[in-house]
Amino acid sequence: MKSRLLTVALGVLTAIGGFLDAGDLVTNAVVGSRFGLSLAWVVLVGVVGICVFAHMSGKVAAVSGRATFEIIRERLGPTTAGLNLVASLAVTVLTLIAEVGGIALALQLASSVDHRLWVPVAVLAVWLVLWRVKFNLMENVTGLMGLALVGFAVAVFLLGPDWGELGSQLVPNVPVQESAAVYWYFAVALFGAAMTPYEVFFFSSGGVEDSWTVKDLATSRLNVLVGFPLGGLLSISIAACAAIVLLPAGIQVDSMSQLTLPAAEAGGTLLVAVVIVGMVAATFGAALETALSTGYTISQYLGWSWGKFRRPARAPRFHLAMILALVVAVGVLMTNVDPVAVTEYSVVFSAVALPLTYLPILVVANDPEYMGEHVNGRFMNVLGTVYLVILVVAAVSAIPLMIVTEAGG
Amino acid sequence: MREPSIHASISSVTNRPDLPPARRWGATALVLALVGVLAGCGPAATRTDDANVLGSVSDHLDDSSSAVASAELAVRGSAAGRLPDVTADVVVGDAAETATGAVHGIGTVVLSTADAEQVRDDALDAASGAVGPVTAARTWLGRPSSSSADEVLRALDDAATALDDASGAVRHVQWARTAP
Repeated sequence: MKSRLLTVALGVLTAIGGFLDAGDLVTNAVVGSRFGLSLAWVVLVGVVGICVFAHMSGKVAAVSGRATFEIIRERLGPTTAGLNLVASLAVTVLTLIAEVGGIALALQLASSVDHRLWVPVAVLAVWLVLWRVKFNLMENVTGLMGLALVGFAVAVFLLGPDWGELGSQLVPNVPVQESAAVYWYFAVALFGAAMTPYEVFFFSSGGVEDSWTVKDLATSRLNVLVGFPLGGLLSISIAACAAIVLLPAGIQVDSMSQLTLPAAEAGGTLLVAVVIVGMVAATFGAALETALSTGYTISQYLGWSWGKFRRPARAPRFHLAMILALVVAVGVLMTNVDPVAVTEYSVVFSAVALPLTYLPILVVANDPEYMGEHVNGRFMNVLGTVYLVILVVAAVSAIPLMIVTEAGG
Repeated sequence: MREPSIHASISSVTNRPDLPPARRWGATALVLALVGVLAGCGPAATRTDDANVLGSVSDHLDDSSSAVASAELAVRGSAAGRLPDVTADVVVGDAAETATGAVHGIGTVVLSTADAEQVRDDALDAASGAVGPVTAARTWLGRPSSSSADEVLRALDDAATALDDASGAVRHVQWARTAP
């Protein structure tokens, strides 16, 4: 019983720590410094959405013993699944680039060594972990270290804000100095950051790696329903830090380094060190997850053997796909592209790819051939359908908003 | 020989009897889109255009102000021992990059009237003037004994005030141009 509780607690903690990635860090800080907390409602909507679909894909993995993408190809055929593959793969590789850039930027904060020099080191470290470290260990260590981002929540309390004033910012409204189009552009970006497609593929394939069965459904549900919302609270605390310190100073976040300023003001060097550790862990964990998602989706679509539970020699093409994705990441980042800009674009393009990713999951979760008695209930279907409508609206509006607002001005 | 008019040229493409109706409409739309793009690329310096360009100058000034404010917070944090020197160095380094980018951004805008150009030049002076204090802040972080934090902060404050004034002037001209 005691070990069961420990397993559950560990799962929840890693879900909290692993929830945030470079996209969440940057987008929440940018939004907090420009809009205060008036877009916090989007994080709430995004967290409920990711809970709904992560739960569905976890259930598919637990009940069928197979990853979502394998079933999508079998159920919807190679053409539809191919479209899904192209869309989600493009976004996942873009997200991987952003995460590797995020690791490099976070390491720069701790060393003052230029981030471009850290990129190859970061990629080598990611590859070594993918090659050598067991799945559970990898997931637990990065998730638990990512909990250091709680430092942002601590900073909010230490800064001692006027809680009434901060609370009043939660009401959705467009600030005077911003246009409605820019407000909605960042709403879509925040939504994309919360619901990045790689998360569900990683979650379902991770379920297979962890050999989930129907008995693990309750644990999976708890991880999702407790861990993700608490992770969402961390997102909001990053925006709150920016709203309390950066917004009044007229600072618009355009680099990751600015995230340390509220922590410094609140808790000094110790808190800065804690949040830097959290940033490295969050981006490193997300780089592992996105690299794995690349390997998972390609291998599951093409029917290659996959998984970290197999030795690399037994899943060579799965590992080769991840290595190629990492090489692409280094190549792009070495062109001197701004990792923060890549991150901002990756969350917007995530929003574009969302319906293609999530519709098949809803279809599979309703197929009795795979799910038996565990097909979605009416409540989950209503929720899933409502979210599909939101996803389509976000996807359709993302690119026009990006053009009209010049990517948020 | 008379040269064919643009209308005649478009008609020759879109009214070809061998094209099915759907493709004819498609060809018409394509030609109109091309004409639209070409028209959009032509010189159209008007009062409203200047107002839009001044909006871009205003955005660059905001970036510059944001960089100065970031540097100010980093210097205060470092001087108070609340921000590690290596981290403060990265914050100020990024701020210097932003401030330099803003100067480049303002320096490359093209305006059509003399008074708008004057405002742009003042904005350019203010943005250029902000780069020095930000880079001086980075120098101070590397060698705190070279000057006092107060001096560095005072220079950053002056730069912030100059940027505010320039921003006000830009917005005033911009408002005057968009007002009916």
